[in-house]
Amino acid sequence: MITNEDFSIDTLVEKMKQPGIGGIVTFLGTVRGDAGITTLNVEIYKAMAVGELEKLKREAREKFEIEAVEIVHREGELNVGENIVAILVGAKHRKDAFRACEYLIDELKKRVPIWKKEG
Amino acid sequence: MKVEVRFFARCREIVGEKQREVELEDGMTLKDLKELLMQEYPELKRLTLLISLNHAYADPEATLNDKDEIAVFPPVSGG
Repeated sequence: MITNEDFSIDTLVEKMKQPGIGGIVTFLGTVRGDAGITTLNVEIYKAMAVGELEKLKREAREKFEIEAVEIVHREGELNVGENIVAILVGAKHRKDAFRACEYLIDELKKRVPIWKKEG
Repeated sequence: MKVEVRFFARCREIVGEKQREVELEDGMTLKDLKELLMQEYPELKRLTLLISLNHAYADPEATLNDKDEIAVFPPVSGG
């Protein structure tokens, strides 16, 4: 999902909980305050990014034994410390959840048409 | 035929607009379009360019059709 607004990682976790899940791994990316950086502008080719995110989620379900997966990415101008991206993976057991979460953030960075520009 | 070309990030800055229509001859491929754009905007040659066709990464040899949506952009940097 792509959004202009901030999200709550707690709400996303609560939504994912279900009896078949024994572990939820989350990755939360935030704006790092490197020297001279006050804002980060996130530009997204939405019409394509939505499809690429769905593809990634499908691939993760095929490759790993997971029960649930969610990805949220923000667009627009963000300040240091703000949330950029959340990836959540729920599984019966933790190992596949960790692996799938790492796979998803690595592939997102390679393939999904999103660009960050520092300001 | 006419196709719609969208530009993102550094490519958008070089071209100076978010999108434009491009008139092409029938049978032209994505690669042909990329070359046309690099002739028109030589600064694009300095970038690694990625190209999508109708919202997905595509083979450069893919033949274009009327009303296709193509996007031209530098390597992605999300997350």
